[in-house]
Amino acid sequence: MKKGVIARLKKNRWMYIMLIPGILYYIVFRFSPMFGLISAFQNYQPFLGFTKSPWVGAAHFQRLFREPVFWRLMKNTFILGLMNILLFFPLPIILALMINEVKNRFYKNTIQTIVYVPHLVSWVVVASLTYTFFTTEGGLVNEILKSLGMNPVNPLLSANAFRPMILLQMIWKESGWGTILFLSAIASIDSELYEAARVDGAGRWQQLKYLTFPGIKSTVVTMLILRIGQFLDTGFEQIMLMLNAVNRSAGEVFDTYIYEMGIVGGQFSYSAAVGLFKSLIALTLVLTANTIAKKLGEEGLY
Amino acid sequence: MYHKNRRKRMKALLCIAACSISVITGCGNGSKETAASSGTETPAMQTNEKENRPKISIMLPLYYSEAPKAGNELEQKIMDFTGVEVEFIFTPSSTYNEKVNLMITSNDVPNVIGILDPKASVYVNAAQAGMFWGLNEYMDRTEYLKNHYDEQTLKNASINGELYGLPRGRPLTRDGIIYRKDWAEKLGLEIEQPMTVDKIYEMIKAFATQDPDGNGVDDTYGVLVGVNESGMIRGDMTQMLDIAFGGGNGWLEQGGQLIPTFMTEAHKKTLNFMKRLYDEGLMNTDFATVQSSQFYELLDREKAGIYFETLTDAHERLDTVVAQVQSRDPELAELEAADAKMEIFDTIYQIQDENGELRACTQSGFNGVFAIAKTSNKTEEDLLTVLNFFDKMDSPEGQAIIEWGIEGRHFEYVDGVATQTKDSQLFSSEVQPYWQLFCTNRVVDRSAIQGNVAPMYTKVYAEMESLMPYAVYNPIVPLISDTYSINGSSLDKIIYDATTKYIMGLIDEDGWDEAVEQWRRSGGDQVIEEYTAQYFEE
Repeated sequence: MKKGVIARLKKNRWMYIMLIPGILYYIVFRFSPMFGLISAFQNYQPFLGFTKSPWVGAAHFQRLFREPVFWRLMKNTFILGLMNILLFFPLPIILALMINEVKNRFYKNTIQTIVYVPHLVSWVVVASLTYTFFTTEGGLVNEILKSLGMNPVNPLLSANAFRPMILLQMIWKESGWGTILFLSAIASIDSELYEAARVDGAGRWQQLKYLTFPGIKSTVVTMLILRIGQFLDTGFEQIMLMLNAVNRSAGEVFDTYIYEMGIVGGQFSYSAAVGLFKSLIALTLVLTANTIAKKLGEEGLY
Repeated sequence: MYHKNRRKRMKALLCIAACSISVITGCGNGSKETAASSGTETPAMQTNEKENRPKISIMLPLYYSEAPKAGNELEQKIMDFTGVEVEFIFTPSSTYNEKVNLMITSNDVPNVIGILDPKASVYVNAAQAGMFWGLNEYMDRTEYLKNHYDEQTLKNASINGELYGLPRGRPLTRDGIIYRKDWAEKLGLEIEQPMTVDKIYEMIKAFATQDPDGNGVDDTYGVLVGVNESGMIRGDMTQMLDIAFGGGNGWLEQGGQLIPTFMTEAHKKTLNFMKRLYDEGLMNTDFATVQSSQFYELLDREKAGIYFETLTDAHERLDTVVAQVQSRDPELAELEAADAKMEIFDTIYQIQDENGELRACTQSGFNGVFAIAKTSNKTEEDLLTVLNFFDKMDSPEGQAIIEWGIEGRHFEYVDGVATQTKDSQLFSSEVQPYWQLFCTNRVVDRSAIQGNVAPMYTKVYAEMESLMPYAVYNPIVPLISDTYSINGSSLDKIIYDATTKYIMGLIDEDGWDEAVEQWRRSGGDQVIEEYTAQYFEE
């Protein structure tokens, strides 16, 4: 038995060697910082360090639950998270299926490249583009509306328009990039199956329905579960850049709150507690989603 | 077959390895290059004496787009003068406070760190935990600093009676209005000091509606309004208006308590004034999204002719606009940039309140402090090295070095008087960043370093000094409220957000009162209590 293990290790040694950077990454950047979580239960003072900072138990968590802003953060974060999953998540899949149906190779590759490009644009640029398009003082969109005799719109300074604006920005920037994984999943479906289907007289719609979609279903489910794990990661940079006095009531989420409290306000322990709370919710969500997926007969994550 | 596959796999592996190595070495080359280039900047010939100098590092905010080259002539002059090797770490002002917070968090700070917000809880807590040297007992060991600082500034900069950093002294009365003089002349506006709020309104209206830039298109705002990163209206605009409407400066004593001005009637007048500007289209409607960079971009595009700001802004910024106007106007093109600026920009510094009384908005009298960390200056000797450096720089000779720069490059002696050369761009990029080192230069007798500077500089400093007798002080400057230290940023946001919403007409007066009520419930009442207790204790 033991020999078997060593033999297998030896046989696959290159695989294991290639695994080392990944493991190191997780140890250095993911696991070891978790040590810092103990500061969530302290009044952490950098100068005093972890050993000498006073312990306060769950005081920071109690403060979080008592903060008037807590329910607002919960609500905003959940709405944005739901929006992400219901309205944004399906788009890359649909887009990938559409790209897959394109016959002309050159046209297909061009489209693919064009939809990838926005991903490479940073959020700062997206935010300032949005500003130049929509500002009420000489913004492109409003100038056009004005010349058509219509009333100007001001999505930058409106609590109601905040979420749609965030969603549209995200769709523009990320949906193309999201297709990569699904396109490769589609490519991995055995082409003989399609030939067989064609011989049996299946149309393109039927091929899509009975072959392509079932073929990528497990990828979709895995991605969905992973996505649910990031349910509360609401795209800090994007939101931070779009926040202002008027839309804060709809836009303030846990991520921006942690930033405000921790980096700007310097309340390290408190923001660590908020972050830990957020992570616990995320963990619960992933476990639940995984269980449900398994019950439905899918593979799940583990 | 198996072997062939294996070889293929090996090839693939090698490819990956080669790629990753090239990436790694790519980085390595980069860092080597930068190391080499910074190495060449310091003179290759280093005498023994120079090597034996103590070394310190100082972190300073940078208000210009580019940092001066490390080890430049001026830095060498500073080092030769003080006998200390200094590494200047310039950090852009927009992210400066975050950088400071992160540095304090990671316990990794330079020898001297400029703290811009000495009320920030990070700094206050770290100071009280003992991270920074307390300077009370060491001030006597200085030669110049102890004489140059005034009592009040030292008191204002202290935390519970202990001074944890050298205050970066600045004039108290710095706030004002900067406007386009050429536009006002074109419209035939008569601007006399002191101005009243009504006259300021008339002026804003004329700028917004009478096409002051003469291009035939209604494309100018009356007054340009912007916000800072936390959503507060820029340039002390609301504070100045509060005072003009008879209110206090931020906080005031009323009925045996210290209360914030936004709880008083004066602030409602301010809000209504701003709302009127907004409703009548006399200010930019997108003000709540206009932050620093956009603000100056709009100024540079000559969209606005009036803004509220620290008066020194008229001297330190606006060179772009001057250059643009000069390029269009042949008459102005003949003048030196510094002289042309006098024709293009002017200031309103005297503002009367409703009773005809002249009252001036003040800032804290210092722009943060230089804190000296115990973690990076382990011994008392290290501390004294730093203290001596700043003490020497505060001597008349030391101040003159950073005031004027290098003779022949930044200034010349004309009839024995130091005179700034006409290249104001060179001066502002190579000398002005080091003004951040000043401890008392801006507030004490500057006769030792007098000379001929840009006329706008002389003008605004004279104006600021003339306002001192009319200063309205903010009583909370020397006080510390624990509640505010912890929750200040959330509390402030309630008020900033409500201010913006009121101006835009999204909430009415009831909505505003509700926001103030919310501020009080969320901890504001405790802040009032804590400030009041401390205030009357003293």
